[in-house]
Amino acid sequence: MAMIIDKETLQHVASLARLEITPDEEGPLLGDLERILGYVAQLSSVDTSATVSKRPVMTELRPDEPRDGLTREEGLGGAPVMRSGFVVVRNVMGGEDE
Amino acid sequence: MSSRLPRTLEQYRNAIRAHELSAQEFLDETRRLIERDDPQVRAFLHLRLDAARSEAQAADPTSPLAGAAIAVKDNIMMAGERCTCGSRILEHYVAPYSATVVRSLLTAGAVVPGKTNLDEFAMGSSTENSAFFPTHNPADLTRVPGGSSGGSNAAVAAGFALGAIGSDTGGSVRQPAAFCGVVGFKPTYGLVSRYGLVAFGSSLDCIGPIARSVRDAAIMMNVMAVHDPKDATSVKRPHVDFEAALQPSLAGKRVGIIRELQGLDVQPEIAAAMEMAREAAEKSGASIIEVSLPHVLSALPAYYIIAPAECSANLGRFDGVRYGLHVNGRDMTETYSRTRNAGFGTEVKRRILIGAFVLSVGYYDAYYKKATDVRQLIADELDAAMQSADVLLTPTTPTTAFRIGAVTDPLEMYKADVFTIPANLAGIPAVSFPAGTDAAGLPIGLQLMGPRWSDAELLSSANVLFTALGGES
Repeated sequence: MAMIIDKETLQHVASLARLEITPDEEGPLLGDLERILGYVAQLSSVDTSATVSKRPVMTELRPDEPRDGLTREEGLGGAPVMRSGFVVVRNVMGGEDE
Repeated sequence: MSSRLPRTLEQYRNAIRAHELSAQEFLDETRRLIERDDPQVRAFLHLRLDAARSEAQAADPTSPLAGAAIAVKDNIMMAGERCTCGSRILEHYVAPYSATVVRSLLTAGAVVPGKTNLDEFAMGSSTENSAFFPTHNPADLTRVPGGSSGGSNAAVAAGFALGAIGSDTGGSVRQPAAFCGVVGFKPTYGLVSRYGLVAFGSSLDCIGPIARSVRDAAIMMNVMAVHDPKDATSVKRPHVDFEAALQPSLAGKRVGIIRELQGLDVQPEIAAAMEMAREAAEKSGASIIEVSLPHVLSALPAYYIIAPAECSANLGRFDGVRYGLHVNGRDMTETYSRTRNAGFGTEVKRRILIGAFVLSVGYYDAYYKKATDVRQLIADELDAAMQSADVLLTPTTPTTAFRIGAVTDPLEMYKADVFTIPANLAGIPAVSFPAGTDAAGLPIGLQLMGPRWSDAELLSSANVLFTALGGES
């Protein structure tokens, strides 16, 4: 049977998810994912062509309106690195960090 | 103090109102129990017993919860307290605000003795996936308490709290309730605010009460079911008194048994408990009918596509920039991936990868789209079944609590959720209640599901069966 997920796909998906897969994680992860994806792939045999939603599964959302929320200090209080009320990140435009 | 300590929230409330007991005295007893037994059970990630004691001292004895200790799962925020989600990535994170449900409980007079252990980000069925330590089942310390709300359920079972709250995405309140011998209730999606719950699967997540009796769960729901504009999925509903809605019998009720689940392999004592519950229902005036849900067995594979997909999106926010762990890399991208690699455990990584895979170009239609169609099919079938039955009766779990370390295959672990997942997919309420023990003395849980917004009637039906099978009324 053809594999659902190979090394290249795993590495691609991991890069999308911003996760590093170390060489010793790769083998066991591939095995687990192949079995889990193989199991959930049984859904392909379910005929959903006639499925017409009788009701949305989720409730309707309220309108998205701005309201008072956390203060700037509360919102940023958990950030690992802060300066003058801003979050400090690595240089994303290339070159050295400040 | 009276010689017999209250076992339930209801008995506690009565003792406080009759001035037979003070909140502080009871909390001191609770503290002794925690100090003696929690080093073995390990239900709590952090304790705040001194703060809880002064809050109990200040609690209004006429308030609904009157200083009662209610434990909180550590993925639900309480201002000023750590909220780790059982993960290294949030090990030192302190919540800047309280979840609406925590605020409601505190306003009603509850005190929080501590934050409870869980599978990392609520992903697991045994609490062994906590990044810190596993929790043990108070009924047998060599066994798991279930998960992911294993700490909250173990705390209630061990007497460390009169009630607790947990989150239920695929059974995380109900499955550990069954394993620990307590009551666990997942309300209708939209009934209890999730503001302040760290999101896992947003279309599935619900917060629910864990209690020693169905009546206690109803008492907690009276406080927890509040419309909240801060949660966009919270629904405004007419006020219901869950406790007053408890009826003494099942007269005129139709209890449905699901045909497609009957062939499943369940432990013989659980099958026997189902038989006892059927008899108790009939004796109480209910009729038993068989209903068909042709696609119910597709719920498990659909869930293990939808939940990882939503988790991979929700956990994208843990990037080492705005909160939590930060591990430096050569550049921003490497900083993200190093942080996430160091911060997330194996099961969380597995689910993020599955989610990213089923949402990625080329696989989206075959996996994610298909799973949402199947979900709709199952929700429609459940709605149709509820036309002919008022409640559906199933086991909560195929087995009683397994030994710590016994289930190492993730797919086998997922299969423990076969009975609990359909309610999450359809957004309907479901409750697990204790129904005796197996040959080894381990608790058995049975589940009732009902139509959306039938939460009060569902708890009433569960209360009748729970008390008929030996539970405290």
